[in-house]
Amino acid sequence: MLPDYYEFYNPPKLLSGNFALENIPGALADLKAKKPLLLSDQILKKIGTLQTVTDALLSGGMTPGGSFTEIPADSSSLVVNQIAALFRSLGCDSIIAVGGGSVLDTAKGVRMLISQNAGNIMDVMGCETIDCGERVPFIAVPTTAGTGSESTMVAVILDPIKNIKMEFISYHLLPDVAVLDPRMTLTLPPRITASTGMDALCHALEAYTCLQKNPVSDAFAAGALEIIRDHLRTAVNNGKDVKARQAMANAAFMAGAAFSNSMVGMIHAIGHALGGVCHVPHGEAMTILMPYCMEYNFDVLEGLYGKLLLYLAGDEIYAGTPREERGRGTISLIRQMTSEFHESCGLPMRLSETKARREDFEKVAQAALKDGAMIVNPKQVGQQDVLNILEKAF
Amino acid sequence: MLFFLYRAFQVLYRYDETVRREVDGWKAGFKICMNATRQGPGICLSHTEKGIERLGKQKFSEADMTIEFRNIDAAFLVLSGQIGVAQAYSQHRFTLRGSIADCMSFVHCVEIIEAYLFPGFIARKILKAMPKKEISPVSVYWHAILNI
Repeated sequence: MLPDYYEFYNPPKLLSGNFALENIPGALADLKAKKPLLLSDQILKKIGTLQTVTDALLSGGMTPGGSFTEIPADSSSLVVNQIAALFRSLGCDSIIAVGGGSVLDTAKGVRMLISQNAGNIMDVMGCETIDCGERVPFIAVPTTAGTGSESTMVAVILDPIKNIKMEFISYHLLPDVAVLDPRMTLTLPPRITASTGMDALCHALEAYTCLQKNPVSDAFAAGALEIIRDHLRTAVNNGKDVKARQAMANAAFMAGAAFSNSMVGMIHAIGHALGGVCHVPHGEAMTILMPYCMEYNFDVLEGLYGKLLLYLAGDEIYAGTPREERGRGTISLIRQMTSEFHESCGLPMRLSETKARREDFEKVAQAALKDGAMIVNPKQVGQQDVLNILEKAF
Repeated sequence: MLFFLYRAFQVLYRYDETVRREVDGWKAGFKICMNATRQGPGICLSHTEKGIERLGKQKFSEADMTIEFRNIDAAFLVLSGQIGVAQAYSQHRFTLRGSIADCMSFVHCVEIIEAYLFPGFIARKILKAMPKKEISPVSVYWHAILNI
């Protein structure tokens, strides 16, 4: 159904496939950038992933103006402010971010600070309020296939004082170029491949069912789900399969573009809260919460869940399933995938297998209700509803 | 419309426990401004020890949170009950300066106020669920009009 009004925006130029990294110098030259600041984390530096990127830059005659490789898993406003100061002191003119969601979201925050000429990320908080500001070319190189941060206008950054993950939403957070090179995800362990893949699935699922859904975001979400259906299992079970890795990187990008424009709902709202309060890894929170939240939304979303069976199970199964059983079929299929990954790589199925503690549930529920994602969930959610879901998922 | 929303907010802070709980969760002196458009009419509210108070327009620059409709038609769509706040957000009808978490709390209050102010058939259309009313809508109108 066509909404009364919608907007769709997805400008990043996509470089996808073999030797995509080697095209970064050319892409930076196109953007008139000469001195990029390279952002990443310690793990990627240690395992040599970052070296692959710097080698690709060198092969194109480009040396970064500086680097910051201390970005933690749940990056905070303090880190963003620190990197922005470094960017200014080194006289850099652009950003290359190599990493997962935390690194890319940190880079978005840094770019926002520089372009708005601000000193503290908290001064530019909001939703669609900032203008394009000063131009800071930004290249995103994801090293996981899940967050889709390379194609979203959302940055999630921890407020270390309130211990809440703050959302920043602006069209000007989107990178200029997204680079999907299969070498970047080949070394991901099976469990992280599974959890980030399930995160991408959750992005597509919520994009397809939340209030901001529209025909263009639906197309991206459906395409992402088909790729996930065909390639996630292979990527988890055989991490060296380049085709599966590249397919999942594309699925994550597409799911990101979908949810950037239609937003995500209660699964992400509760997941962000679990991340902020209990430090449950985002992909694991999504995996665990997905079926329970789908059950909660079922009376409102049964029809849309039913349609998703086509993309998640394929046409044969879809056609062979009676209409009234398709919605439940989609939930069962997601449970089945989770169970498979639990068996094969230890992906948790219950919150009790994570850092979540029952005594924190009250705090988690309060934070979830204040998360921006909750407003686009198609069904009203109250504190007791969140507590019930957390209890069931524990 | 904005002025009446403010008056209803003031009344419901006194008589609706959920609204009071939400507002009391804000820091003392928290200032919220709503603009129909950048140059258009607006209202600025503050959480004080007396509850909800209106501030002069000169306080707009000190706001902790500013909600600004993109155009006057968008403001009319929301304030006349043609679309809900969630739909308005989905349709990019307004922008927000400030914390999204604080905004969610304010949105929750506005949805409760809408449930009191709009007739049932409108409220049911624009709200995902009808909140429990703790005072009659007629009373809210009466208090808001007479400012008592």
